[in-house]
Amino acid sequence: MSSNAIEKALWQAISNPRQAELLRENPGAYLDGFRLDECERALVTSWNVSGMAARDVSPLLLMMAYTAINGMDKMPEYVQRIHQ
Amino acid sequence: MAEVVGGFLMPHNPMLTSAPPGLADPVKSGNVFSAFEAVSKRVTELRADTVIIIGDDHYTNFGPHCIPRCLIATGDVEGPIEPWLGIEKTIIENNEALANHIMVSGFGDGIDWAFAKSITVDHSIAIPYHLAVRGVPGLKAIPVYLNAAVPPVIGSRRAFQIGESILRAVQSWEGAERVVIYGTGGISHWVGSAGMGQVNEAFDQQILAMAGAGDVEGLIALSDDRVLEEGGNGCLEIKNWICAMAALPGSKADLIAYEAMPEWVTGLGFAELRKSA
Repeated sequence: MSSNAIEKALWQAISNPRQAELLRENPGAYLDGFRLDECERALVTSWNVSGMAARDVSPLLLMMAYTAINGMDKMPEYVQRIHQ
Repeated sequence: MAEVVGGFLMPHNPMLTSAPPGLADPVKSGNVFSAFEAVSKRVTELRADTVIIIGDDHYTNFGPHCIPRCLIATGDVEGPIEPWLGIEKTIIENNEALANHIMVSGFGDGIDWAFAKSITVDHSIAIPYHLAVRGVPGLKAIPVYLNAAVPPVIGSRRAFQIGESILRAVQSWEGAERVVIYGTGGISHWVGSAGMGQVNEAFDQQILAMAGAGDVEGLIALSDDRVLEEGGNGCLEIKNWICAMAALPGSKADLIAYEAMPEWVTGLGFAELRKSA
């Protein structure tokens, strides 16, 4: 397991509005562009942020990506998820 | 000869400009904004014309493809990059000549600066600029980024050495600039990690006491593991403070204000670095 590909996928999404839209609307297609195994894909598509943090994905990046894709108003939801 | 005439420690919390109105205790938030005004007033009194702002990128400008250990903006600067910050993007006037001198002088000191010929800064530079630079007429800003956010982070000793190098560069500069340096960020906060929302006021007070005693070696001696445990990942930003303190050797941090604000997920500390008489 490597956090690198997850971080690449999340960072590119928050850095490019078109990529963000694709991740939001069709995460499977978006993630096809990255070298993720099935477990990693499942972590991203389910927004299992605590699971990704446990695999050393940057919490800064997780927080930014979660709110960028799901909405800034979802910060309380993110805080709940990171404590699960 | 140019000189470093002052230094300040302050937060760069993005909640300062992006939090919904009424979220924070108005007395506490009032004290925080008054502290920024106090910094601006002192910088005006010091007749500073250039500020070096020490911040850290939050995986915003720099991504998995490239994370510089230390970076100086030597050219065009604007910001902020975050559209949600509540600050209109604006041009930030750099002191390009001095920034380039700090870079080249640093190379001679063994500091392998990364450099930005153009950059749109994140909140770690934009917040101090917006609240404690923009209101000082004629004050130019040189952004410096230390990697205090994405592991492996810069060592605290290295942060100190960079501050020493900045001081040497300023003192060897042919201009007559009056420079102040801002160490930004901290104190305790957990950014996106488990623990987010906590503030460890006791640890914050310990950090402020060490800075107040001029005990920069004590701050350097704090292990990253201990800082992470007691102050959260955001507390690693005290490396920015250490860098600033190195540029004012022998200085002690006179407290301007401190507020523990869980509603803004941060303990916010302000101090002026003053050299002993």
